[in-house]
Amino acid sequence: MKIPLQKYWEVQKKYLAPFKRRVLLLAFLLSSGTVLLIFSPLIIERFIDLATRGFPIQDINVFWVGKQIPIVSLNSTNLALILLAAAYIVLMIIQQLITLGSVYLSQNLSWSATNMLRFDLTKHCVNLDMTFHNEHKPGEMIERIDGDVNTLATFLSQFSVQLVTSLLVIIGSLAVLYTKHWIIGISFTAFTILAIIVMYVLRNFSVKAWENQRQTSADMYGTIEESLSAIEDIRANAGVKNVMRKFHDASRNDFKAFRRALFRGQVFVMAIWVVIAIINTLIFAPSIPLVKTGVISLGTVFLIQIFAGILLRPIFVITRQMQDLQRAGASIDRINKLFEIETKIQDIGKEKISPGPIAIEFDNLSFAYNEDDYVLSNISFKLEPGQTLGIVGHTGSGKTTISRLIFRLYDTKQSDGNIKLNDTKIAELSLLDLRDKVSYVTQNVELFQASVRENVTLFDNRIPDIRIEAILLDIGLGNWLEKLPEGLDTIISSSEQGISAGEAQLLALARVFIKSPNLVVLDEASSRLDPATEHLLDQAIEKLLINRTGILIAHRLATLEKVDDVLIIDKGKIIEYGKREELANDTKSKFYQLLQTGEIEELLK
Amino acid sequence: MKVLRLSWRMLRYKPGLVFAGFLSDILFFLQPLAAAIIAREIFNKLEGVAGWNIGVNIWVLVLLVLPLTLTMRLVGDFVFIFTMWVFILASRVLIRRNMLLGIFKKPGAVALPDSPGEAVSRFRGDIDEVMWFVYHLTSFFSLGVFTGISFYLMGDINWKVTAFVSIPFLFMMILVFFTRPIFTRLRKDRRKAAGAVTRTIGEIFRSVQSIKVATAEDHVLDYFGEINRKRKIAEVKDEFFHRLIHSIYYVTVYLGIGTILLLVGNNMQSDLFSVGDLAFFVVLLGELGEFIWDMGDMVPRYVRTKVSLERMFKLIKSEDPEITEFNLVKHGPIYIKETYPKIQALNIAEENKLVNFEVKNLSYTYPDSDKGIKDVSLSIAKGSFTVITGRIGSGKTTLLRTLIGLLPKDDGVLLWNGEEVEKPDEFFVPPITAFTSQVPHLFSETVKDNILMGLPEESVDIEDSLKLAVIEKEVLDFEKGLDTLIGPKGVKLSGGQRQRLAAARMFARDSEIYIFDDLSSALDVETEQKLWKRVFDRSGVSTCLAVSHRPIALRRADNVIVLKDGKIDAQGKLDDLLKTSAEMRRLWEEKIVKTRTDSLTTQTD
Repeated sequence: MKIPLQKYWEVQKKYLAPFKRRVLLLAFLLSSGTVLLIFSPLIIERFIDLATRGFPIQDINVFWVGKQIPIVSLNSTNLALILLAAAYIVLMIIQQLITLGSVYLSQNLSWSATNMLRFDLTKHCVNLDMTFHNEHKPGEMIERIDGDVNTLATFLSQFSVQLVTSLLVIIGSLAVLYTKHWIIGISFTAFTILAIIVMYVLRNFSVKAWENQRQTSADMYGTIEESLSAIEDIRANAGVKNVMRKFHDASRNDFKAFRRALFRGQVFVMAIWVVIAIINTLIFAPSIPLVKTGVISLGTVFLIQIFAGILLRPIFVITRQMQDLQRAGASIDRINKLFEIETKIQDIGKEKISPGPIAIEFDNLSFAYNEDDYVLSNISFKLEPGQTLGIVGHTGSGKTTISRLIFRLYDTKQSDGNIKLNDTKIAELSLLDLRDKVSYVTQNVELFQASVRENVTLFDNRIPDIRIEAILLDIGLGNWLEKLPEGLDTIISSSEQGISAGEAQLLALARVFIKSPNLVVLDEASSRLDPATEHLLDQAIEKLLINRTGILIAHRLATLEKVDDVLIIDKGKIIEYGKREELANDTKSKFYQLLQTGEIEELLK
Repeated sequence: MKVLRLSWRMLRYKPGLVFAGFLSDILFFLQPLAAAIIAREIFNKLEGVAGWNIGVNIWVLVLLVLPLTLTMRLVGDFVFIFTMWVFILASRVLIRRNMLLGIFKKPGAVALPDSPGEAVSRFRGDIDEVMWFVYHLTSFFSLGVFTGISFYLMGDINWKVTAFVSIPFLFMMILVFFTRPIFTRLRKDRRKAAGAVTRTIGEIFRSVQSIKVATAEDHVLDYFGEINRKRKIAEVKDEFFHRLIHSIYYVTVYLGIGTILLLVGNNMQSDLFSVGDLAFFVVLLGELGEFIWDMGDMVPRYVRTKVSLERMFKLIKSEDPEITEFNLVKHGPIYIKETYPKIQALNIAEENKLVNFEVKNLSYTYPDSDKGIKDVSLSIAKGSFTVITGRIGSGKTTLLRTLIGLLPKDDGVLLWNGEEVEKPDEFFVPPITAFTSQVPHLFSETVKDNILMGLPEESVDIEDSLKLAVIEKEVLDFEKGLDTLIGPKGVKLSGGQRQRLAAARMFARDSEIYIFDDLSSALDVETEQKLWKRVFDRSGVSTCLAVSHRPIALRRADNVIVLKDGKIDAQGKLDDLLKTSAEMRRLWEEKIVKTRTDSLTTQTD
């Protein structure tokens, strides 16, 4: 099995590059910590040797660097002991300060890098087309964006740095041990190599299991999130037991996957413990004859023991990093899978729409959400600038699909016809420009748990309050706004408490008025309103449509009163299309009969 | 919040597993102790001083280190996974189950304090925090055993030095005690900031279409970036403060070790304190340092757990005094091995069959506002059709919600067949009432599963429900018919299809009263007409209560209730109301003037 270093490296490179200085500083702090770590046991060794008089006093130096200071001249062993103990304390305090500094740095680094990744990932996913969003629950997205990225946190901020400092500790410690005696050096080298081999072999032992567990846990939280979004529907329709059944099914899967992953992970840890047990033996076995023959001192044996502990630390760190790497590997794969999903909406067009009302043309257009399941077939119509088209048909007849296609929430296959704005195919237009000049009011209203202002502007803080207030007044939310305790700053709860569905719909409509589009597509915007409010809104929409091209998708025949052209659609096909005036006066037209009877259903047979 | 009592209750959920896990923990902690004792013996034998004199050859000791420590560790670890971990995993499922059940016991419309995405974070991070604490309570005891033995043995060697070693421990306890409020605050901030991130991800992906439509991707992402930045600050602060306390503690421990060196320096020269003794102290202090830190950490952990428990409890807290914190850890089946029991078909007791449903002086006001309903009285007879109408924000939805217990009434009496309903939220579910909300929520399942919502298939007439909801033909046209997957929240369906599928779900629950909250909002007039006709064909058998503005519904209604500012403005037959109620006339006239065709259709009806 090969370590896919490439993929780890790429993630690190991309998300640590902006923080080079912090990474270098962290590396510096950690290596200073390493030096202190290797240096401090030497103090204790000297201390013991001095205290037990294992060495002639003349040979002892308090410090190992710089000028040799013969202790004899101080003529006091006690002073040397005090100096050594004090040096130990000072070193340890400095080490803690370094630790603190590196904790702060690595935390900062970790959150900066993962925030960047979270942001990129969210950006990428938001920009994916709707076919993606139809397949993934928001709860799942939470798990994949926050959960998976969290797993990467330590990996991103510490992996390389920790790996390098750990190697430094190992090399440094082994070097010190070699200077004591070659047999000891060789025993420890053999041990270290063995440990690394064991870890390398077992490294991937639990990757699959953890990946599987992440998926089962995402499923479980997805189930919970979905249920919590539909509390009213569930409660009022006796669906609680069903929610519990689904929850327990998902939990059972997660429980089993978790236990399996833990077990496999434990086998890995266990291998490490076997290695540790061997080290304990290695400390003493070679030392016994060496002490008995006077080759090394008791202080040195003590030093060896401390180094055995010190050597464990980098091996542990590497182990933990390897396990993090296993988990991170699974997360990176899942994150990369998300990044690899490409939006089906290619934004390669460069053309811009000229200002003023837009002419729109459907040229023999067909569309299928899935492979061959066509919901629109051979749709053709042409709407002159400034005119208004009313589209009427049953729910599910394809009306909504038409509006989605204009806005390029979905794209048709090239062979399936074209949509042209001002005679330019929409694929050749810049997507940003298209969406800027076209406004689309959907059936769904979604609010953020944020202020009224932010809900109207969708966080665009360049828009002045006066304009927002004017718009709200225009669409009949003036009274509502006045009653709000903190005006535009009032926070709207996303669970729609304290705001009625009608008010929410109006608020969502206000978003369109913020833009100044040249083409407006309205999909049943007024469907949820009572007549009085609907009337207000109709006036606002009329205002909006002045000097703009409009497509009104209506379930109500009433909406058709104010349009220039009418298009009747059923099962994805145009049944009738023409000027409203002409159709209304033509007694043979379906529209005429529709006006008379209101019975679309009968006509279409 | 009774953290300890709740934890104790949790531990008693699987006492056998917990006890076995506890024993394996002790084994785990005793391992370094065994290693330290053997190390001291070896040093003492090398130095030639007396120790505890275990009385075996030095080579036996050296060879004993490996198998003894290894076995302790291996057995401890494996038993731990299959006992303590299983307990932790099972407990997580249990708490989640209790939280879900608790949420679904609350009035449905006010169930969540925040968004569903944020609530999921309480199902995840907060539960993990609690279980981590509960586990540490048991390790607290095994640590106690370890610490006790260690201190006894150290005291046996030199009690003065041992007494000195306890000082940093006390110091730590005092320090933690005084910094407790800071811990609480930082932890709260951190959790809140993390919750905001998950909530925002949820909101973004729930509203992705609205965001695309408003070309607000960049602004929303900026907002997301800002929330991420706030979280980074909160996380780094919390972690850094935590480590600061940790470091202060370690510095104290090192000061201790350094001073021990000073204290024993002379003793070593006079052979009162051997190298083996020093080895024993340093090895154990290293381990104790970690362990004692864990104990000192119990206080901040306690604080964090308290915060988490409060957040979890807030999800299930309601007016009901029987719901206490202990509901979070209530023992019950978690279906880890066996599947969830089959859900029973609906069955109504003879005495509950509707004769008359009377509502007297019903009131509800939203918290922190003056909006709501006041003093509403009405009566519904078997087989009747009641329509609630009124302007936007007049309280129509609030009335329905309060009526069936989705909102807790402030005042008023609900009389079912003359008997007062004590718990409306538990009573008004199928087969008493079935409900379709204004914005129905569907699940990421098949059409059939959405309708059944767990009911046994043989007990439900799916065909008939589909037909009543006027969606039977479209379902037939779906690629896989009833087995078609409809995507998260039903996104693969059009708005009208979602609404009618929700209606079918309601009709599938044979109930005494069907309640529609503006069922027609996303439907075209023709489809709606058809739906009402099919419903009316059953009148006399079915009783209906609906919010509607449609002339067809208003004309047909046995009783029309006109709401204005949360109060009943008038009620009666439409024709009478048009004479007596100005509000009704206003609503009606605007409707008629504006929608000539709509009224045409009602005249032909």
